[in-house]
Amino acid sequence: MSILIIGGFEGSMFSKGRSYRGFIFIGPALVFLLLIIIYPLLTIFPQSFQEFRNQTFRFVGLVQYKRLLSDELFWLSIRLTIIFTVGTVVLHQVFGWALALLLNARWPNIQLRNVFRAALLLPWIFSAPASALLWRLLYYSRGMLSYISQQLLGFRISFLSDPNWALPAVLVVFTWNFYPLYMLLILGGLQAIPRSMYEAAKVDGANRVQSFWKITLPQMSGILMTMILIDFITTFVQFALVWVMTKGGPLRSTYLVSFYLYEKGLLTSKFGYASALSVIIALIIFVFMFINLRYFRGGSS
Amino acid sequence: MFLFGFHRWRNRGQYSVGCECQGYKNEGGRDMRKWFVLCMLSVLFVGLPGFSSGQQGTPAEEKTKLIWSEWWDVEWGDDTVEWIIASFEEKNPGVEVQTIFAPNDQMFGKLLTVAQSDEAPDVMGMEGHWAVAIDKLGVLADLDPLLEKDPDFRSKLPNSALMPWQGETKIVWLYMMAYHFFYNTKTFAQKGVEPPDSWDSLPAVLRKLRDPDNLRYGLALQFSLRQTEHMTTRMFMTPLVAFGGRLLDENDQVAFDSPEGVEVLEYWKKMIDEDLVYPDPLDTDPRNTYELMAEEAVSMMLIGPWVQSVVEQSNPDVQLASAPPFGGSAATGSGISLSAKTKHPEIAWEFMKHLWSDEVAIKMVEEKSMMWATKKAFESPAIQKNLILKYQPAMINDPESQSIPILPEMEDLFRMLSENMQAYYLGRKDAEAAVAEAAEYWSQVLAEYR
Repeated sequence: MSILIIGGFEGSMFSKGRSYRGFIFIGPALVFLLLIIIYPLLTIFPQSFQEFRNQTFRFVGLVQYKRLLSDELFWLSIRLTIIFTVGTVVLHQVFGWALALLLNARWPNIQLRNVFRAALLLPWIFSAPASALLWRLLYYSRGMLSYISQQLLGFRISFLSDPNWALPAVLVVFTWNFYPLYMLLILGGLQAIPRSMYEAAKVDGANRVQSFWKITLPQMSGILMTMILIDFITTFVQFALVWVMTKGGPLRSTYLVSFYLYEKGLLTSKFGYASALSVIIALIIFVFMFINLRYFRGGSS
Repeated sequence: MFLFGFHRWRNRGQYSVGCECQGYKNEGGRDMRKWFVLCMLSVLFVGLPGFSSGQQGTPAEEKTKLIWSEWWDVEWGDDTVEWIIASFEEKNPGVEVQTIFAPNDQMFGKLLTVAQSDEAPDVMGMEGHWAVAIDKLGVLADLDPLLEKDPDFRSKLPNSALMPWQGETKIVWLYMMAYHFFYNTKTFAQKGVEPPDSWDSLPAVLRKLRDPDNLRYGLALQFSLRQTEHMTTRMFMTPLVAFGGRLLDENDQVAFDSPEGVEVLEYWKKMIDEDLVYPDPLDTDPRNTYELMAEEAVSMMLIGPWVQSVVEQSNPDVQLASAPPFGGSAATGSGISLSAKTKHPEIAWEFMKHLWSDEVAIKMVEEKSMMWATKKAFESPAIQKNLILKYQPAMINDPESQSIPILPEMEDLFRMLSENMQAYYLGRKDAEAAVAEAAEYWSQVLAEYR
């Protein structure tokens, strides 16, 4: 969505004689954005200063924010979510880059490359709940992965019932599910870099590593920043995996902020408190977006 | 959009679209033809379904639509739920009953969502631990006036089936149960083992059933957070009652942080340490255990009578039976509530009464082994012959059995107790600290609602 908006508001849309046509094309997306994102955001903000009791809302000022900021569970969920998000983003980039560079290299057999590329895309076709169910079977104490850990390490790892392993286990699933998206984005960016630049660098005596650092990365910086931004936002609010796999356990080791929001907002109908939490989550994302876009603008210029 | 596109297409020779350069009239004309065709197709795709649905609508519009939320397709089978609906619609031809289905462990979230968006079903399948959270949204009707107006129907129900919350009856149990052990009769016969008749005899029975090399065990414990209600009411409260403890005392104060509460945690821990139960209980939930029962990898389960109906859907050859009573147990039910915002209260009430009709009660007792909450069902001779139900009336009515109370924020309370139990089983806390911390949290929450 942010790509659509960023792309849609590039300079030409507002130039005279074209603005109306531009709005026709981005109109549906704008309406969707207003209804699904802007309107709820505007509703949640005033609700965060209210308390829901006896089926009515009453104004309580900053009470919800005070409760939130003094709640240990909130800080725990934020900490876990940041660890989860950073870990996932890093792994998406590592796998995305590695596989994209592999696919972008010269292959002796084009068909083999195409088959390999199609196979690498397979995890992406699973929805998050389906991935969670599939991996739960693999992680089960008598499942394949526990068996492998027994053979390799001499003891069985109970991935989803050990608080030390549960969060990494969920992180692996999310990485597996979405690395194809980032692989494709990086691959697209790599293929847009003119070969002549690499040839010129080769003539100048640059090796592969130098070419990567001096040509590939700078050329890809725009895409890279956008990808990280999207990845951060989507990962930060990830809910389905935790819901299906662990329900925030064991011992709240996978108690992500989205799950905390679900418990407070839906299960206990504490709408004011949940709204305050939503506002804080939105602020965190906005801050990250601001830093990212500033760097992106600075990098591209 | 259609008129705009058509206008541009007609005047395509006069200006071009998408490019302000001169001399591109032909491209502009082709663009406009594409634009016009796209508009026409959009109109057709959007308009046709709406046009056709209007022609089919008439018969359905004449019937009153009643929405029933339920999870029982999984436990009783689709055909049973459809039979219940069909038998009601036959007597009430002007009514069409539609169901909203979700599995039990997802129904609470579903009900909350529809209730919060003011679309609560007319008749709702309801568990006791959901009631307060849903009532908070003003969705549950007080059933007392309806029961008072209908003394004949009221006299069919045992008093224990009516569940009050803050002085009003918000749920009536559809079926009741005492949680207990249900065992695989074939496995026990093959091993020459008699079912346990007390909590003390259970470990010895499990030793005889244990076959770790083939991953066969007598019992699986369910300590996963994926279903905290099960962990609290069955894994904790059931033995707590049997050991002489209580969840709440007579003044509704938290009472499980007691020697009996500690004893419950230590009882299961001993079984885990001696490898008497299926491995990895912290990652096992009831759904896993139904599968293990169907595969006959586990021979017993501490659960309610619906287990037979669920397991036989996966393996019709499994025949379960209830172990003899161990003394008091945790007793509860699953029930029905009426929406306070239903547009058809009379029809909805008639449907509710149909659920407790003799016709439905007898079928559910005889075919689905469900302890239907009517006096007639309790007294039915069929219960004594039913391997699953034969001890249920005595256990439910046992003065030592305790009813699971309706409490506020029960999902949260269950979670807190379940997490503390997990902490104990992971060695992070001792048993006393685990129950004490859970009890403290319960006391804080309950105090907010007093």
